[in-house]
Amino acid sequence: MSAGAPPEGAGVPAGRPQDQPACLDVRDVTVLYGHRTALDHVTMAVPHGGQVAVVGPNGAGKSTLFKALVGLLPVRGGTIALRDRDPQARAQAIAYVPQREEIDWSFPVSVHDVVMMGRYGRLGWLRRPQAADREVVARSLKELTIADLATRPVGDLSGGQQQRVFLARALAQEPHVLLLDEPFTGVDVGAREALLDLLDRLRQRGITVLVSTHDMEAASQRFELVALLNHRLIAYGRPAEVFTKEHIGAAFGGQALFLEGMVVIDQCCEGNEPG
Amino acid sequence: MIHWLTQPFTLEFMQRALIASLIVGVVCSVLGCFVVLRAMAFLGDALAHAILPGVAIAYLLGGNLLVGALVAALIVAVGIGLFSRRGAVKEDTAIGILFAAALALGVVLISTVRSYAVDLTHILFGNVLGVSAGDLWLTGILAAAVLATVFLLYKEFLLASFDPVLAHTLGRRPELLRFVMLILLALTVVVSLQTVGVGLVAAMLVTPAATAYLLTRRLSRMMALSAVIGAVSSVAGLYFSYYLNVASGAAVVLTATVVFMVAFVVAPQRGLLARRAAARRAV
Repeated sequence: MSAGAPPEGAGVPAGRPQDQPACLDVRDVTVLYGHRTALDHVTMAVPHGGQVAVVGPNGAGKSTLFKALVGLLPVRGGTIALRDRDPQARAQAIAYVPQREEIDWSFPVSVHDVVMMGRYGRLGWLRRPQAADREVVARSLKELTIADLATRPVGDLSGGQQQRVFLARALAQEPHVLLLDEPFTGVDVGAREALLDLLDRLRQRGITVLVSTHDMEAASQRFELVALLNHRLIAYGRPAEVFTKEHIGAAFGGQALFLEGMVVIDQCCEGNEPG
Repeated sequence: MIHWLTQPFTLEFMQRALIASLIVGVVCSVLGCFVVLRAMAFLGDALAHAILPGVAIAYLLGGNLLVGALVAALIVAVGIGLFSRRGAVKEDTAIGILFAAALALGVVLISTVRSYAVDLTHILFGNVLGVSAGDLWLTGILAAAVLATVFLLYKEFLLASFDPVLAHTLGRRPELLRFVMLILLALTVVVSLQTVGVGLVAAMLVTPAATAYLLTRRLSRMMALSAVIGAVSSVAGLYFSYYLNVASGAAVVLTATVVFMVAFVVAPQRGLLARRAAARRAV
């Protein structure tokens, strides 16, 4: 077993890409949300440039995992390590794209201003953006095909465009690891395809990506790794190894229906189920 | 006409009043943009009332009122900052209790003096005609400090106001920035004390900034526009005060309010008429 591989018993099946050392190493991480345990001893090692779909029922701790990774929530136990990075620099190297509802879109800022915020971490206090920063912003806007919207107020944009602004901002951070929280929720088919294409390009550039999603089809067909989460990490590995009857039953309980070799997950009434 | 415009300012106290009003108009309006965007209006109002005991004590001791206000404002800002981190009651409830109590304490202290009614009126609603040269210096220095801080930390305040989550992940310490904002708010309240008084400072913090918010969609422009609206309202209010012989602070606030109402109706995109027209087009 190579240096960055997870310890035994972490639910990692054999055959996952182990030729490269882990880029992001999550070991035994526990996070409390009030008195409840939101994440229970989660261990997963993500290889450099790997792309992981994080799936699980609502309230399973997907967002909590991301927030813990960027230091928004305190970790009660365990460690999070990023290769070649000390803990202080870790937050700078991880870009987090939150769910769209968490932002006040009526705020008077332009698209360009928002994407430039991605540079603030590297700029440090008091320093103003330089030509190099504007170049990175221009490149990020182009990458997301929103260069023509640069001077528009963010409040004028459609939901899909707003998401692209936040993706462009995350790219402007020039991250090693990119965390996308529910990026497929509430976007149309075209936007979904565009996002999947972007993920393919990021893969070529060696950017490690974690995506939380309810989109099982995208998870099983477009990601090399899937993490099935329900407070505990129920399974982690290739889609075919993770999406088994036992694992899905363990994660989704009564929400999962098994019909003649097909799995249907009833996610219609997510707000109603406990925790 | 020229005579009508220049005549008030042949008097020295009117010149000082003009400069003080302009300073207050600009500082309140610039900082007010963050107050409006971060929904801190209630906090600003509370802060203003909470400094009354400090002013009263300085007054009773025969000290400088502005210095008393400054000390009280800083104590209150620190107190609110610490208080709102974790509390048994919701933040706005806690602030509501604190500021009413502080106001009452201030009134009690001032009521021990004979000329109580007149003095209280000046503190509550300002007395710009009584600004001394020394007050003007202190006002100018505090105002310059506030504006310089906003200029230097512009990008940090923008980030922490728009997206505190990103600010946090980038190591920008949003809670520290909020604290700095509270201190700036306290200094601004002190600066405004003599022109509009503690009772009306919230209006100067909110009204010009809200007007600018209706007129532009970019924070930097909103701040510039807000400053212009604040300055114009201050000067115009002073003229009304002089020629109509009414209280100056109230005249300034009412002028700013009229400007806001005009913008509320005619502003492009966000104005009442524009929204009506857009709704009609959509039908």
